[in-house]
Amino acid sequence: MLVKDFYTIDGKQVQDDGSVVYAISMNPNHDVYKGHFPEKPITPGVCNIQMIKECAEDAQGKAFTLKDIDRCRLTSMVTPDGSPKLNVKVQFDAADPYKLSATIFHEDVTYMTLSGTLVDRLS
Amino acid sequence: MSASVMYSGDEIKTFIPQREPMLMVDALYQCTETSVETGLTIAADNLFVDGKLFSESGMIEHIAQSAATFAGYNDWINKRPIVLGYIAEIKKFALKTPAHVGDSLRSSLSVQSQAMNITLMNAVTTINGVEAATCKIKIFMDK
Repeated sequence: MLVKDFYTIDGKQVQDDGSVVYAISMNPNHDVYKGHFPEKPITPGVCNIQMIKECAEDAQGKAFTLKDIDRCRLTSMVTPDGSPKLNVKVQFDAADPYKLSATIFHEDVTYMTLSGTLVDRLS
Repeated sequence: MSASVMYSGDEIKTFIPQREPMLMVDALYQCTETSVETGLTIAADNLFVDGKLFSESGMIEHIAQSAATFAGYNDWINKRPIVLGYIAEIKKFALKTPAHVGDSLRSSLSVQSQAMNITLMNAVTTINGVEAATCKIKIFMDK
């Protein structure tokens, strides 16, 4: 995990369509919230992008760089207090396992959708 | 491209609400009503550094905070309060060259469209004149 202790993976489930859904607990006491923002803790969107990539790495057992993002939409705000539990769904293109679609959601709220292309981790 | 820095280090805090360890802009070179030029030198203890590598998520945050610096600087010179801004959407992000500890990022962003509290900007980040990343970023200012 790049940003240490930012979240915990509580479990994962492979779906019939091949996608993998992760159950995540956020750490509301992380130092990130001291700076984002001092008077109003809000989970940085890029930390959620990082979490998607790390779930994709876990699903495939490889280290990746998210080299291209076609589109990433932030549809609801994630706060450490208001959304302590999240699900991350990662799905890989059947013909090209480096093509990723991902969603961050919990119950009936969608927080983020992302489509992009991974490469083996650049150095 | 402007050569000299207008504001740097802690002075950037005048324009954006982000603070350590999430501060990802450390220089403002130029800002107009339609464009901004910012910088970040990647420190070894940067939150988004793994070994020597600066992750693409850190690169995106630097671009997002460059957009926030654009909005904040224009609010500041017009004597308006600085407000929180959020990423609403990222399109066509491409990492061309990975950045590393010690690299100085230089980002140029220009406004593509502006409506209500949403600003769409086109961003190009370079390292020593070589393209490192490009994207289109939409930010929402919480006014």
